Amino acid sequence: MTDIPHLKTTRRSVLRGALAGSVALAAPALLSAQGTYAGIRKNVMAKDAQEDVDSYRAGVAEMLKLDPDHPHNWYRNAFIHLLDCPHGNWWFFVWHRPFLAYFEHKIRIHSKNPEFSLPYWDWSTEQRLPAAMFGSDNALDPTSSHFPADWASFAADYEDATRAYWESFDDAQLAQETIRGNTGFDMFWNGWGGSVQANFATPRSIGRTKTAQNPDLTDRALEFVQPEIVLGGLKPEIFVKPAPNDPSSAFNSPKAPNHHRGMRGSAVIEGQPHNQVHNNTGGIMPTLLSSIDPLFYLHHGNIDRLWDIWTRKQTKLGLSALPLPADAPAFNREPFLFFIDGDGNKVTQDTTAGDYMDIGRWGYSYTRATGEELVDAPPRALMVATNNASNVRTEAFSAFNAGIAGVALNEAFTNTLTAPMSQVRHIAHITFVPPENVQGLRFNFFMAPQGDTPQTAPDSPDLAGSFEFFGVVHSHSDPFTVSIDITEALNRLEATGTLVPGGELTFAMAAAEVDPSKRLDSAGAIAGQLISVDVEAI
Amino acid sequence: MKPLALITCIAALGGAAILWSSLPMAQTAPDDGMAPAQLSLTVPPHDDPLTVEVITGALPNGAELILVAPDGRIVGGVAFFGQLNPADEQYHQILLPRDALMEGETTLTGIVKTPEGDRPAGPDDLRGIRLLDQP
Repeated sequence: MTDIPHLKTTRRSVLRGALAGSVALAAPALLSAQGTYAGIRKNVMAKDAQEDVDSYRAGVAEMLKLDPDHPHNWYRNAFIHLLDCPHGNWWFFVWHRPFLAYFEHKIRIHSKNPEFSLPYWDWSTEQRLPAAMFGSDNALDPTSSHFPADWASFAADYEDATRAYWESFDDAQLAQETIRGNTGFDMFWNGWGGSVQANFATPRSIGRTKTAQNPDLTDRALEFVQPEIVLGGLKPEIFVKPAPNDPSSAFNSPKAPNHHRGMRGSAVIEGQPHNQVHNNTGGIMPTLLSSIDPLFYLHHGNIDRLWDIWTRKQTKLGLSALPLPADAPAFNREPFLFFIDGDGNKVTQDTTAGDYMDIGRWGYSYTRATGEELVDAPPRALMVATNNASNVRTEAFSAFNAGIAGVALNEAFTNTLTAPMSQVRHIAHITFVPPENVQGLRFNFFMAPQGDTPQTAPDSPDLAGSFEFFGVVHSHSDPFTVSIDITEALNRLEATGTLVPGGELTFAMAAAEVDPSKRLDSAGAIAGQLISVDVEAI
Repeated sequence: MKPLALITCIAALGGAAILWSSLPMAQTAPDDGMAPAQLSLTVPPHDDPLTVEVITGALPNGAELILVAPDGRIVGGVAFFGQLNPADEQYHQILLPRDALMEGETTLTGIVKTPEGDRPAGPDDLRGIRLLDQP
């Protein structure tokens, strides 16, 4: 593994468990000395994003000024999307992540702000184009004076440089373009519906149809950016459907033979908010040269953010965020050959889809926004109150003394308490070390709200449930976990109004002799250890 | 888990033409001899948005295929982005708002919206629709 000392340590990784080997783990040797990819990407509307917005504006202006043959020139960067982007297939997310990360690095360089992080546009909450994106002298506005006036002036400046760029392609790149339909430079430049000219907005005044006075998303787009749709798009628990006729929903768009001409359909996030925001923003945004509009990168920052949320949700659920093992080889080996790094060089190391699946390699993260609640929320809808590592109280218990554990109540959990019992059941998972001899014993569990000590008599109204071993005389000294349904007991407490978010539920555990005749004289003391209590709503 | 509701593609002839003509939206006249594709769907009781898979054929660039309920409401649609290539069937998962479809049997009609105008979706445009399982 390459040692990259300035690559931020992964704080979360999608590569877990047995599937980890299916994606390359090597850290990238991609970073220039000018900076790293680490940082916190902020909501473009947040006050603390203002410095990033200013740097973005400055960086775009500088990239527009670069010579047309400069590898960081604004249009050269935009062409990468036209040359190589996948849509309507399972490489959609994984291609746009490095495209944005390399772009972000370029902005850091040209804005001279090494701390720059690309803002994102959370259209679910900000249902209009951000005001920062407009202005006649604002480089974040493609209708501004920073951009070429029309196709003729653009072509006069760019055609020769772009031809030279094309002629620098190696055989592998040219083979990719042939698959895409670009069988030569002339075809790419103006030869078909997917060409530069066919996608170009001319004159520049039509480069964006939304204005500062009319920035709102159209009603059509609004339907698809609603949190209900976004959250639904994040719910699926598989990365991609194993087969077209599979009845499961998936997070990603369908499998395809290659990323260029492989449009095979779309999953919710790509097909609904992604496509509709592109198509209903007008100007150049509905085209594959939408990468000319600086808005593109804010839009895709939000898409990448949602992928990260989905990945973390999967991890929290203990589910894979990767293609199925049978699909992984075909997915991972797909080549992405057109990225340009911060030094202006073609990326030649780590050039396949599998190399880019792990957000941890870049080191960036996002601030909280729409969808994050799915990561907060307990898996399978509800769950969990727990006495986590910070407040575990290991307590001895016996026939005479109860062991006590406090269970912190989070809001998600307390919300489940008002659900009808037919829809939600609450299960306590109680881990304890039993006495050495368990025959003839019953282990009783009691509950009380925070501040109260449960009454631990066997006939106490605080009794939540109990457990007896069967067919066991001697236990081991290993911890043992019992799961009991405490729904009714919790509902009794809920009715008293004493269970509140941020509060605590007090558990007590005690042993009782229920059949003294089964106790051996040599059984020893009735003493055990309560270790932890988790409560799950299912 | 919701039961998988497979669609039945029903003949879309006379009645469909009446439906099409009654749709409250801008539209061009249907192509000669082409009736809009209609698909029936059995909707289970639901409290959440429905995840629906729409199976389409190749559609023109810039097109959007929208689904219309019998009362003329647009309940959802498939929007394409980028350069469409001729392809075999395409599978689009879309999420319909929870109140888009009521429980029970319903019939959806497809309309292809293009920059040049709207037209009814033919059987080759709209090939199938079914509910998917959503966790």
